[in-house]
Amino acid sequence: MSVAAPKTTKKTSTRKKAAPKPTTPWLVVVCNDPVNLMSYVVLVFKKVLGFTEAKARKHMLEVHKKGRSVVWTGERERAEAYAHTLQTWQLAAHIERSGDGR
Amino acid sequence: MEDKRLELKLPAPVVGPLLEYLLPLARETGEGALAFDPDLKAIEADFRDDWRNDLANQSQDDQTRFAAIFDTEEFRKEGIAEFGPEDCEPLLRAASALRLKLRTRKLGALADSALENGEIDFARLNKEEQTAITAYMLLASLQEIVIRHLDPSEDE
Repeated sequence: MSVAAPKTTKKTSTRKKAAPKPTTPWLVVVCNDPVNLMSYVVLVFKKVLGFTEAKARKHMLEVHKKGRSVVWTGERERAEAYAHTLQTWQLAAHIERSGDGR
Repeated sequence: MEDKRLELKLPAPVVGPLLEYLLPLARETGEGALAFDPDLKAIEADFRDDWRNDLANQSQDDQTRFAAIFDTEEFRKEGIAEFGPEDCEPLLRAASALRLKLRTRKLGALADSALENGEIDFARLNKEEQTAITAYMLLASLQEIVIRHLDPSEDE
């Protein structure tokens, strides 16, 4: 005996799952100031951002020579936390959205 | 980090007047403890006051610790200050805050390049500026000592 296959009532969704919205990353930027010592800035980058000595020096020199350096990129909340901590160390740090370069 | 205590010895006759000059700055409270105007343009407006207050409180704590370490009979008489590893980071931040305050409030007439390169004609400064620049340089020396203590690989 054959049994007719039941008619399928399952609707096939043609809607594709929405792709996550690409979020524009936030940048933590440190600007130059004439006051803080180079060795101090290197130490702060190592302590706050976990940079190696070489990476810390590279960013410190970028701040010194170009006036600013992007020291971290990512989600807003963490960017704010890093900027706040860098400011407690008296560095001229701020956040900006990628592409909003001042 | 080294966990031994650090002893700083400075000539008492020199540091006494500088201490008297720095202590009032270090004891400022509230907004006065903020050494610079933080760039909060990208921070939500509702959050900015809390952010500034938090920075001011942190900076005030650091500068209060600085004052407590140096405002002692021993430092005034002998020029000796002793502090532990737990004091190093607050001291560094406080010294940075005090240098920023000196720069904006007392040394505004000096060019950034002169300060960065140490090209300062001491004789051309007025009395107030001479005291301020001496305190400014003393704080830098203090920072260098503490940085070497925290990170012996740092050799600038």
